[in-house]
Amino acid sequence: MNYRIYSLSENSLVVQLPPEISESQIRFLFQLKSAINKLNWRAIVEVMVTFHELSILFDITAIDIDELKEEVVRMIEDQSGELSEDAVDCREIFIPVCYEEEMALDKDRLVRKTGLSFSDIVELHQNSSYLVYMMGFLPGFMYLGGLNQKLFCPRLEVPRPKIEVGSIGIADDQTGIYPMESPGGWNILGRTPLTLFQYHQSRGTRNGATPSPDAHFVRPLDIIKFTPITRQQYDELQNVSIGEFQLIHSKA
Amino acid sequence: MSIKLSKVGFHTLVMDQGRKHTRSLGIPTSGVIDLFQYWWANGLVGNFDFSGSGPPVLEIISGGVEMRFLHPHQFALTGSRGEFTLDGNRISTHTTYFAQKGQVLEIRSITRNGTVYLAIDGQWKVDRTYGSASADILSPFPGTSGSLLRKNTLIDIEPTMQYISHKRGSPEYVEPMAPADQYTLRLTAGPELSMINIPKNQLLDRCFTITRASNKMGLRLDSELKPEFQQSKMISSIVVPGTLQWPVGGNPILLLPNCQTTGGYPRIGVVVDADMWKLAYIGAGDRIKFKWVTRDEALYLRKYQLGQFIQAWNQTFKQPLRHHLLLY
Repeated sequence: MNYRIYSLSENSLVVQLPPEISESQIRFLFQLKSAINKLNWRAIVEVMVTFHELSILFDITAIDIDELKEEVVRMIEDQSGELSEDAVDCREIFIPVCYEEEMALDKDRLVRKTGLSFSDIVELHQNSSYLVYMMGFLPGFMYLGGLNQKLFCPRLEVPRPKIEVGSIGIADDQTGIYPMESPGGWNILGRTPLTLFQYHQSRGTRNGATPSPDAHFVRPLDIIKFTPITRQQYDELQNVSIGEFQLIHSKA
Repeated sequence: MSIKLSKVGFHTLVMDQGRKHTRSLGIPTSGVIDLFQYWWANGLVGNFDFSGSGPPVLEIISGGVEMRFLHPHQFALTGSRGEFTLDGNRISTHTTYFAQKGQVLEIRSITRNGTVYLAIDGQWKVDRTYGSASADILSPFPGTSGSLLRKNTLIDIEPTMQYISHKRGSPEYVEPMAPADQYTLRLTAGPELSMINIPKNQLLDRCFTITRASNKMGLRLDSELKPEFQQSKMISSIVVPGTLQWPVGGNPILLLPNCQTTGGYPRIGVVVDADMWKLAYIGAGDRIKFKWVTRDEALYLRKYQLGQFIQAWNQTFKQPLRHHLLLY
């Protein structure tokens, strides 16, 4: 395994792999993350994986960085070569998308830029499986890999000041869902009625409760599949959670 | 109900130490920028333990803030200088005051680009998201954890009314930074520094002016330097508060605690933790200069600064500072 280790800030140690977006690399990083989490070192504040890096944020007063580095190097050497099967998560998550005109704000632009008809665009978009590489950019935003090359389309020259929550867009070689209302420059081709981002809420005086990643239904390494729905189904699925939709979909 | 805000000024928020475990979910850390002044304000009202997200305070960045105490409370202001009154009588920062039921606290003005932290003793019954009360106004979080405080908001604080015993006032060491012509921020090199064709030292000779486009996510800097980039694309990677990003063909951005968790712009450097507090007192129109330091120097600065602070703390308070973590 070709890697380097550096510190981004005083409290962080970053393992960096070659600068590429690949499925084997992201799986390796998440395996390393779970191995580090199993250490259960209290001084580790958080372990975060991005496309080609794994970052450990830690309390520098409670841990010796060289010791941490040594441990991480040992783990990398241990893990290299063997991809343990149990760590390969293969959950398939279905997300309903309404591709109808009023939701597909950039229909004309996508047709013009890709040279395909809109029905071909929709078909190619829904026939692919997308791997969730990581969460970032906005709370609950998933970076998805696996967009069909024919659908690559540059971002809008002028970003929209407001994009509705649930909008599905394409930007260059990526597709994604806006988990909340936000400004943005992605080419919008549809919208999901499901709520994808939920948060813990507590009203009280207790400090320091830690969030559980399970509170978020979609996790890195899940496979996302888009299923087309009509406008009427879109309305019917309002207020349905993503977990409930999986049950509905498996019965259908 | 314990305090009622009758005027909220420009931007008043509930804050604590923020969310340190949510980056993997794409959720910013948020939280106060000047942890030292946050800790001190709390010490003055009898909060000494900073485990988790720590006790909430109000973060105030403008004058025109007025609130009435509906219960008796002890409170303290830290951070920038300004004009503050209790029932019309001038009060100072870095001092514990006792407010009677019905008394009115006014923050009339604050020095330009300043920040004031208001600590009030008691248990704050406010909205918490992922365990933290810090307002992240860019995320759809509930109540005060996701929005500015609005006029006539009631903040429920259960008074503890323990008698706070410490030396009155604070040593000079914790007095706020005086406004200056320019500010120096020390940086360690970032992983993509070598992506730009610019001698490292050239960055030092320049002053960067902070533009009006700045917000809670980051300070946008104006620069005459237009460096060439070795490559035009980079893969989205982790960013932390204090990261200096330099978009290809654009102007640099210095990230603040409310920043996104990942970014695709070259990471040129990271502000040392010992200098992060300064960012609470710098804003549009101010000029900053950078100074490169090594990691060892950054660690020394951090240790020295924490040492000085803890010494001042121990001279003032009867209880030690506990579970404090200088991490953004």
